[in-house]
Amino acid sequence: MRKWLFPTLIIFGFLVIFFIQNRIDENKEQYSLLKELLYFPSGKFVEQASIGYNELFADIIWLRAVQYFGEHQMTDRKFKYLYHILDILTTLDKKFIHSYTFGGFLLESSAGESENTDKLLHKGEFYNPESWEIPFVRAFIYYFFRNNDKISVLFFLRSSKKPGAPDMSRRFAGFTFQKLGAKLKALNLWKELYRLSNNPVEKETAFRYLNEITMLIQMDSLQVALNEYMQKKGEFPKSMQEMINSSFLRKKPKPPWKDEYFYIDTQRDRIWCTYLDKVQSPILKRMMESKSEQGTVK
Amino acid sequence: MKLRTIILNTFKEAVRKKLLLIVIGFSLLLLAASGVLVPLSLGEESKIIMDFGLGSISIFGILLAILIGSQSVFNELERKTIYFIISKPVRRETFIIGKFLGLLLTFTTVIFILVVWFYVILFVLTGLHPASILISVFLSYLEIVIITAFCIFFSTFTSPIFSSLFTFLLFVVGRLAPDIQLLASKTANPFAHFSLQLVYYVIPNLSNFNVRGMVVHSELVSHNHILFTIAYAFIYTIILLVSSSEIFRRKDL
Repeated sequence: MRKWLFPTLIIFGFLVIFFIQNRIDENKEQYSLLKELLYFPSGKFVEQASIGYNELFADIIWLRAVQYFGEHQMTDRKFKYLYHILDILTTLDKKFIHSYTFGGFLLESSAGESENTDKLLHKGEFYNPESWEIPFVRAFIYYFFRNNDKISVLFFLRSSKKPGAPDMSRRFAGFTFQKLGAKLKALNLWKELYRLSNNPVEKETAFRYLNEITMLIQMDSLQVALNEYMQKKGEFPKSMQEMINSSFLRKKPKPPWKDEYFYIDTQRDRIWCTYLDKVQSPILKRMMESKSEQGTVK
Repeated sequence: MKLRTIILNTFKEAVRKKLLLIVIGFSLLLLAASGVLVPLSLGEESKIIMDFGLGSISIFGILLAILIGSQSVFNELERKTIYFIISKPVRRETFIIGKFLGLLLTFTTVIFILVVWFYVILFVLTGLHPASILISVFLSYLEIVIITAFCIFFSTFTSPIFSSLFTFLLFVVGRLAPDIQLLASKTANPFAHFSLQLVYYVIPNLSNFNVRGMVVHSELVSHNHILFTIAYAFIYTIILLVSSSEIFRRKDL
């Protein structure tokens, strides 16, 4: 009898623990641990407090931070403390290249904090002068998000001169120099990033932009066909089917998303995609307008 | 009566240790030293002192539990005083529970002294004496209870050095429990997922006891959290004490 009592008691005890822990987890505020991190005044403070285990601390912060970024990326897309966290992280581990590149990318693309993006990447280059990745990401940001080819090409060139830099740095510098079609260049950049990245969030973002640029390129082709139609017929088509019937289009193009479609907006006399009615992306808007802004390198 | 004797003996024995006095002295000094940070805190005096105080109480409490707790049962075996005790009509379970409660009495006294001193310093330096601090101290105390129970558990079958080492490792892993759960949720492999989940529920989740950040920033700690954490500490301690008693009962003395 006693022989069975002990293991039974232990198993029962752990079942109760399982139940209680689940209840505690339900009540616990999500990311409260990360929130505690936000209370730290600066990375320097945490660095001293970590008594030499900087990298270990940085790894723990990274694990929690990635989870936090992912969750906000999927939900409210608000990244109020992103820079603060990245600053602590990169102060603890100054050689953690990926935290600069991924962080800089998120700060620019998701948080829209250009000044902090520059600060973080500048810090990254300062502590990692041999890294080709950081100037590459800076070039990428200037090229794609800021529409600034002039500065972008400088960073692509800087990246290409670093030890171990892949061919793509030079290739993109060349592309930018040659002033190819902006959307095609962007498409290639995102394709490379999608191919090279191991980070699911980065990959997902790259995939989204790839689809959006593909849609814009499709819209450009449709616009060419529309212009031809209007030149020949002297009027605006009422539907895309009309263009197909008159052999200005071979078939109705399909956007990259399953539930979306292109249509002729007769009220505004334009080619349009249902996706654009749902997504209000400033980057998308800027690419459609294709206006160029120039700035200075920090 | 027998239980009370063991408790009091354990308490007297612990109090006589120089180590205890050194740690208490050092903690009191460190708490007082938090005043030095005031001019550097740029308007965050109360936060810095509270962080410092609550952190010190937790760290020194854990340190004492590991250093003194892991010696208690082993010392009785080494000095052969255990034979004197078990030759009397004392159940071995009573001995383990007595040792555990005696240690708790010691740590309760130490924590009480530290908390009073902490309140004095906080009041002198900032004029504050928030009651919410007690919630954090109480949960830290429950963490110390679990750590003590682990020390007793390990010291029933291993030496003080290994007992301290195992307890310390469990303490570190226990503090990182949420990361284990996070890792489990991100693991695609079903076996790895199951194993990590199992580890998460079996190791003591010491993050449950950490509400220091919330208390310092005047955030409300929910009643549910406090109640479930008390239940968690209670059940976990019972499991450890039952296991310790069982191992000690089977020990060939």
